[in-house]
Amino acid sequence: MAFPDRIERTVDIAHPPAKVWAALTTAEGLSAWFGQEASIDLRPGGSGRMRWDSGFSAEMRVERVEEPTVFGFTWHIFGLPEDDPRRTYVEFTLEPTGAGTRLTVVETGFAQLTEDAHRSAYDGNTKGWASELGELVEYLDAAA
Amino acid sequence: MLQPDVEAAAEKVFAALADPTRRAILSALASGGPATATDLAGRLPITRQAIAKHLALLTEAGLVLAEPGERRRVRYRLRSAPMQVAQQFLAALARDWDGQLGALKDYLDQQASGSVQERDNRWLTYSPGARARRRSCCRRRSGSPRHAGQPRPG
Repeated sequence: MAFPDRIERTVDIAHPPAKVWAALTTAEGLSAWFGQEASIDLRPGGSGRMRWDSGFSAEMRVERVEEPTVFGFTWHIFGLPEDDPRRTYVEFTLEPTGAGTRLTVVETGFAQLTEDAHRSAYDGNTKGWASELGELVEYLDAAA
Repeated sequence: MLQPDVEAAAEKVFAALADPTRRAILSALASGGPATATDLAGRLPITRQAIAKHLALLTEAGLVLAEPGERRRVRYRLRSAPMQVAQQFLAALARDWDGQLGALKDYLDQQASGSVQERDNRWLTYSPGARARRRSCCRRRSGSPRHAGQPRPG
């Protein structure tokens, strides 16, 4: 089974890098084509958030800001538990082409392996919850 | 490339999920917590024998853990670690950059031409169910609440 770790797309856009940059890195731009509501603190380590009418939302952590050529952020991998630390990294690269822009987006990290360390931590959590709940029941029984 | 054990884990998850009875058993364990084969037979329209057979396969695949329960009955508990491998695979397939980049181009074109059109929100995200619904449903460009049924993750 081929397991994609990396998604890469390049598009040629008939607008200058400054316009594309604004669309990628401002709340106004992001909310016009990506989320339906967006906020962003555009600095490395800053956080961003997008929301959709469905109620779905995505938290981003800004990693690279090199106006107007590189914008990178990480976000949570869908489907994993909220507190799962694994994230994918998304990087947009803007390259001027005449009057337009060649925009490349690369998202990496889908194939982060379920490492033994993580697996044991996760299983540990699962067992931990079971025993915590057991202890709670015992405590309540004893208190009754 | 994937390590063989990870690939094997993903294969077992997808094989397990390919069967409706096993999906029903996993759903029951996910929603109701650990249960014995007898418990499950009482909740699902499946014989205890068939359930026991599927539970053995699910245990072999590492998707459920057999543990001692009351009155010396074996109780089965969902084990979700292998599912995460499959989830990451699905997350990569469901990421719709083609749709998003198309929306970005449309937005920039509209901005340049000064026209204001209602946006087709193409963010189908991650949810295979949402993608399937979109494909089978409408491709209207109006602002209908077509995403209303999209499940939240987690």
